Amino acid sequence: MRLLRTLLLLLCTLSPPLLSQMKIFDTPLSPRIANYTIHAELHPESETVTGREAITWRNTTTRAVSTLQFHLYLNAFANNQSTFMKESRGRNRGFSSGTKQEEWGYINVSRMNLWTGANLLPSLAYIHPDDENADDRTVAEVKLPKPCGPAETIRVDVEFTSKLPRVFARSGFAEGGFFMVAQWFPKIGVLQPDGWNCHEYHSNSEFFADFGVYDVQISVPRDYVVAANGTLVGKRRANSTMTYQYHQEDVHDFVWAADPRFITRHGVFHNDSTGGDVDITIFTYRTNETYAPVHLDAARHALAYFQEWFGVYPYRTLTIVDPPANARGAGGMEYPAFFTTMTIWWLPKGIHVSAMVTIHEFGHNYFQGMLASNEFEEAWLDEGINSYAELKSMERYYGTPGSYIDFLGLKMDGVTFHRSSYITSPNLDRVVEKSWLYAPGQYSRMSYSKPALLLRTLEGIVGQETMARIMKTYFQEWKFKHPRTENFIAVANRVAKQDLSWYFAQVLYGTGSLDYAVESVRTEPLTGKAGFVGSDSTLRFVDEKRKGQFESVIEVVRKGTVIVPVDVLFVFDDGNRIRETWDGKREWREFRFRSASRLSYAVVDPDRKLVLDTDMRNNSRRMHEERRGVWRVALELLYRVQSLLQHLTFFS
Amino acid sequence: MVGASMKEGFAATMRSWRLLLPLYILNLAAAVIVVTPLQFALQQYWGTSVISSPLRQAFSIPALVEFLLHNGDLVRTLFRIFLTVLFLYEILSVFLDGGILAALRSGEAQGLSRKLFEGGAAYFFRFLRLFLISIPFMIVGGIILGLIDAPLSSLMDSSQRPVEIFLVLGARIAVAVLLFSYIRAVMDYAKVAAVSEDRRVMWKAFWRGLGFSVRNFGRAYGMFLILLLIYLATVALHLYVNSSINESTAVLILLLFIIEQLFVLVRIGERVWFFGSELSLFSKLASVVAIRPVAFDPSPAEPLPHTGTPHAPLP
Repeated sequence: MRLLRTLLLLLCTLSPPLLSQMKIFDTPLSPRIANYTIHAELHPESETVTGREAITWRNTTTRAVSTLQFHLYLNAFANNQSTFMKESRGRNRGFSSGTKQEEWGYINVSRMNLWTGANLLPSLAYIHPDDENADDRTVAEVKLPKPCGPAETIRVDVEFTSKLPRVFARSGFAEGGFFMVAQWFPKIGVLQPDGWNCHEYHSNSEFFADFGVYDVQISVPRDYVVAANGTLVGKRRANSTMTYQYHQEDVHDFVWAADPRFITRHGVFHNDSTGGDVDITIFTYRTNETYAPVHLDAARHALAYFQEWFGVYPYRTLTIVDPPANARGAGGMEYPAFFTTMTIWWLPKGIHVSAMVTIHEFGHNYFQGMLASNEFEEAWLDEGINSYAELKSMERYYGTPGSYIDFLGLKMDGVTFHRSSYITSPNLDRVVEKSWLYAPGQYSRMSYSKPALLLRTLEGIVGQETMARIMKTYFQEWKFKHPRTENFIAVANRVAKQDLSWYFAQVLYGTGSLDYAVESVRTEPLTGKAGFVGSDSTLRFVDEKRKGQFESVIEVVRKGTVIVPVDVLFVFDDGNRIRETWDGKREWREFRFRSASRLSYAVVDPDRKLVLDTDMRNNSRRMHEERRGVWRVALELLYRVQSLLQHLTFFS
Repeated sequence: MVGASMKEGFAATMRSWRLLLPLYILNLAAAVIVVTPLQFALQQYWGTSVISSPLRQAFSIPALVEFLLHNGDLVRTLFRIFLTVLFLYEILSVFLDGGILAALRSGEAQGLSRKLFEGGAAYFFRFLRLFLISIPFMIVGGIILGLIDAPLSSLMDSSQRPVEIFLVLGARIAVAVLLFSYIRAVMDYAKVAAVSEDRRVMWKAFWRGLGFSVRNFGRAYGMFLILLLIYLATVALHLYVNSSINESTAVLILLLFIIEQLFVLVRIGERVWFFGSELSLFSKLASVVAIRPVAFDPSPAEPLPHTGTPHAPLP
């Protein structure tokens, strides 16, 4: 018996290292700075996860560090005084927090020792690096008994209890048995040359971490189905529980979901780049079952496009969770090799929201997943570049102009989608800004929409081919690192073989807007000399007519402060077209043409390259007003109003 | 009896086809008041820009987005105009309901426009009171819907199969339609009672309509639902026709507009048919009560031969 106990103890102690010896990649893809071995157990009745973790962390800076900092993000849901709750006022992405006792959440660290046995817990203090909110407990700091020197590795053993909140923002539980276990374990911050970078959990951003290897064992009641962002390497059945073992390499987060009602659907993407397959699994529900093929197809297409445009998706698995209707706040979230999507089953097929969410969240495997930029400080590198990639993927997948909506003859593409957000308030903030410092409502505008549009505009400036090379080079050079805005700009300048800093300075660091307009057009018969000419004895009256000659005068103006070279197209009644380029440096420019025909219209940016332009209507001006289109719309509206009046009198 | 009433109602509608014209003109005029300023605004905004070119072929979301986002104040003003017209049209339809019923009850085929407006004027304030009486019932209907909505929502959330969701959603819609259409049916029969029995006290007319629709629930409400389904079928038919015509030329734009106006006219006819059928059913099933019975007058109808001062005291 004693021998058996000793053997069991030995097995338990050895199992994490044994697991960690499993290899997915022969050569590490990342520096593997923060590595985790976690044993977690879900207790559905109390909505808690208890866990033990061993964090193996390496100091990759050139100086010793005497403290460690950790994210304890579930404390954002502990009360209404946390930074997250104060910023969001208990609402996030359309969902509201609960107020009952069981609807709050927290994370409690009960043990934190160094591998040497030194107890770090007494020194644990909550810090507030981003604000003066003393009530926020999402970042903790502990003092090391002795500094950890450059290139030194330490191991920290932690025991914790995570009480999940009711889902309204990303993590939590929902009635019926759904658990979204994200931001759930004590996670070490990122040590940079200038110190720790470990931000509080903010309403608008949550990701910045070092890459590593994750070995995770998850115990759940036996009837629960588990979805996680690792490769399932084993499972063990006990009396009433089932333990699943996952292994994942070169990722910076670990997330899982569980529900006894989950059903799974599988797909395979044959990865020509690696020669292996990517197993795609969607965890969904009977209610959303019919939408599983939509998500699987969208994921396969996204895999193909992103690999073609940026680079290889190296992981062997891709896990998609489609949360239930009462946990939509957990939908549309990204984690490495794992994302949650969204099914709005009653939407017509022509409104491509579900596929759009799947493609967008998949894209985060690249932008923030592998290119692990700092979402807190430069969210545009994550959400913005990904929105641009999503926009292009949707165009390729569904075609234009109906890439986002193609329903009952109404079509909308991604450019219009993002413009409808951006142009309502283009000047309030700059793009490169800390996410919690944006003016209210500006985060999505400045970190999603404007970046998507400014990159599309850049594509128009440098050309599609160059833009594709910029994006590919940026990915190849910075994958599994922490790129910053200046790194992206440096790549763009080098690949485009021109200094584009003038552009980025205006659109990333400036608050100005871009707006070109055709201010006036005039075209009239050309006249020769008229009146008295000559002097004294030679004075004579002339009235020269030049038949068949017209002069057209077009005034083009720059109404915004952003200066970008722009094409201007002049179209004449005889079909003749003249295209010129204006550098836009002055506030206005006049164009004059003598031709055999009258001017029909003039257009600034005729190819719609500058989608950042805040007013597309004034980009053109006709000599004669167009009426048919407006009449068509007016007649259609007339009928709609007539019908509405009729229908509403039903209640009179 | 329902079939016969619907048939009689249809015949009355056909007989009163001249009634449709003023009703159509008023509907069109109200819509024109809303759309004309919008049309001018669109023309001014889009007219000189090539952004309006795609509008010739199809409705353009990008063009609409540009308009809406750059004309926030104007759009808000236009929306207020729309709400005002909507409110006034509701009041007007109260007026017209009285006119329609009066014209139908006259059974005549001539002078209907005059009867429409005379009847509208005669019953306007009565029907307006009836409309006000209906508001609390609408509110109660809304509260009932709200009360059943919570358990239905939770049922939807816990549904395991799409068919369950469809059933629950269908149940929600069905309950809402049945509830509000029943209130509407009661109000219709109250109007019919008010016209048929020349009632002036509207809460009594309401109880009369309610009593009638409860006593003859199957027939009164059943006929209302059949007519409602026909109305909805017309709406669906229009959607089908609209989606099959691609307005690529000026001729097709005009053709679709004419077809749409015919649909408006048909739906106005259906409204008259509602009242015609209800009048017929009411006259068949209800024992018409004289609200203001004339006191018995034993004096002969014909004037008596002159016998001196009629009221002179007897000698």
